[in-house]
Amino acid sequence: MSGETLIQVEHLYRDYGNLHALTDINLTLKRGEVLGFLGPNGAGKSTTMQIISGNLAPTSGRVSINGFDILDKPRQAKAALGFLPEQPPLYHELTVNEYLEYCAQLNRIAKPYINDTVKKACERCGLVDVRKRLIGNLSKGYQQRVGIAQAIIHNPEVVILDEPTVGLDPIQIIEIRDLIRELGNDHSVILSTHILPEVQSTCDRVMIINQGSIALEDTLAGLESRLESNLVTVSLTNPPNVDAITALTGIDKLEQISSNQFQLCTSDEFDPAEFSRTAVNNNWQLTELAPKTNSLEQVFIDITCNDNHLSKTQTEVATS
Amino acid sequence: MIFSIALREFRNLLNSLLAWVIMSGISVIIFLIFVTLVKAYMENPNNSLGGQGVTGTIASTVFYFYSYLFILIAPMLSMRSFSGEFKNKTSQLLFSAPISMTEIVLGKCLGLYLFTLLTSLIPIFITLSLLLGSDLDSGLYLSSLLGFILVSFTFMTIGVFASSLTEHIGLAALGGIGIILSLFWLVELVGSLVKLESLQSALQYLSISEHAAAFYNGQINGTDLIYFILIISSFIVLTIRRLDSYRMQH
Repeated sequence: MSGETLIQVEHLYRDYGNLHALTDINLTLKRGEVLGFLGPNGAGKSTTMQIISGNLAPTSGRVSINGFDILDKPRQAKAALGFLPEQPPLYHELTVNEYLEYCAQLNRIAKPYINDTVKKACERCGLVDVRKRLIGNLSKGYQQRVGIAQAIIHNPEVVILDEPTVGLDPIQIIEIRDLIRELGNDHSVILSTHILPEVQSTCDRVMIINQGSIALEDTLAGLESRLESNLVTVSLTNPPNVDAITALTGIDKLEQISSNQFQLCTSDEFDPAEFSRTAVNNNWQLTELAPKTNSLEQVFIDITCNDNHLSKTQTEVATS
Repeated sequence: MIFSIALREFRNLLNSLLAWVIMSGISVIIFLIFVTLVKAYMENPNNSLGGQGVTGTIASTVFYFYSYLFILIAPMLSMRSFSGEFKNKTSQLLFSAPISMTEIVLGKCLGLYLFTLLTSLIPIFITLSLLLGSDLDSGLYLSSLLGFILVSFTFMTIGVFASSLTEHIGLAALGGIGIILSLFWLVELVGSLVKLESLQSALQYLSISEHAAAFYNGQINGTDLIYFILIISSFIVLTIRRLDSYRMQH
């Protein structure tokens, strides 16, 4: 089953009057993939998700879900789709049970199966204890879970979650991430977020969207290779002369952070084992040897900040 | 599918305070009208308004007044149908579910019709109390009831259409009242002011009150029935079109 394309988006454009909200968005998602959708506020994340879910019509372009075009065959396409919008679409005057039953009916689940379906969705989203309570009286975290339960109730092929972990406590966030990973086994998931560690812990692929167009599309592994850098932090309780360290092979530059902490700029020939052996032999008393990685934030900022902004900060630095 | 949405809409109304306030208001007003009519009839049975015995002067008149009340009531009951969904963003639940716009609109309307039938039990019970002291002309009674049901369904559908226009609930109610008044009454008024005779009769022919009148006199005309079916279906189609375009501009 795996390998079949569940979402195909081709040349998607969306204009609001003169504003081009989306320009030439393309994406394909196969079964079993989790795609992280990143972007600063107003980049067009939600607009894209609204179009894929059929809530918004594109100005031009095509969206097909599970092989069905969302505009030509909306019923078949939407049957394969579960959507959690930015603001969960909840009826506050209903109980969790009543609400999920209604959602099951809307998704054409046959009557005899409704009870089981609702029960299963509640179990998956940790709602069993609050099934009889009014949604309006639940905390935001629980409301968010009800929203997720609504999106997965009909076991859709494609699940689209727009910022699903907003307003949850850390334990709930971990639970929801586990749930998303679980969904990723046999569904395709698109996950929009601006919490970067979330992407690292749940997604197979990452797409960064900026000002309405795709700025980067890569696998998580590819993205992580961008994070690797050649900086190493070293702490020595009994540091030698700086020259003694720089004399070692593979060290291009050294920067002293404090009296016994150094940051080494290394080349490919640098061998940490060799370095620690030298440190032990010379009694430098090595206490820390840690490669420094670029944070995902740094990559994200590099990609999404436009050139104007960068050159402006550079000139500011130059003049100060 | 349509029925799930209809049932949800119906239950929402049953759960809302506004609906119950409206219902109790209706009960009081209808009862006062009924008592006044009964008193007038007892004092002078021959000088009746409709001139068709107890049923014509009292029961039909009650339904007639009730349909006037619905000019205000229908938009207030239907104002939330789409405005509320837009406002709470729950419309996204409907729009991303595997159901067509037609099913959504028909479901909403059906739910409101169901509630209309429930509220019409009030005048039905009140007028049926006439049986305690008199006989009722069942033909006239049923045609008046049918007239009321058609008029109120029309108003409800117009209310649903108005509600699909905006996410401001109050504006939806006002808009609904505006459209109903124009069709019910203004068209006729303008018609009477126009000098050109053909235009005059054409405008008057469009008016809802013109077509409703016959039912309260015990006549069920095919043309009137078709008029109501046409006007209800046109507003349903308008609502569907409006929701389709909501996805474009929003």
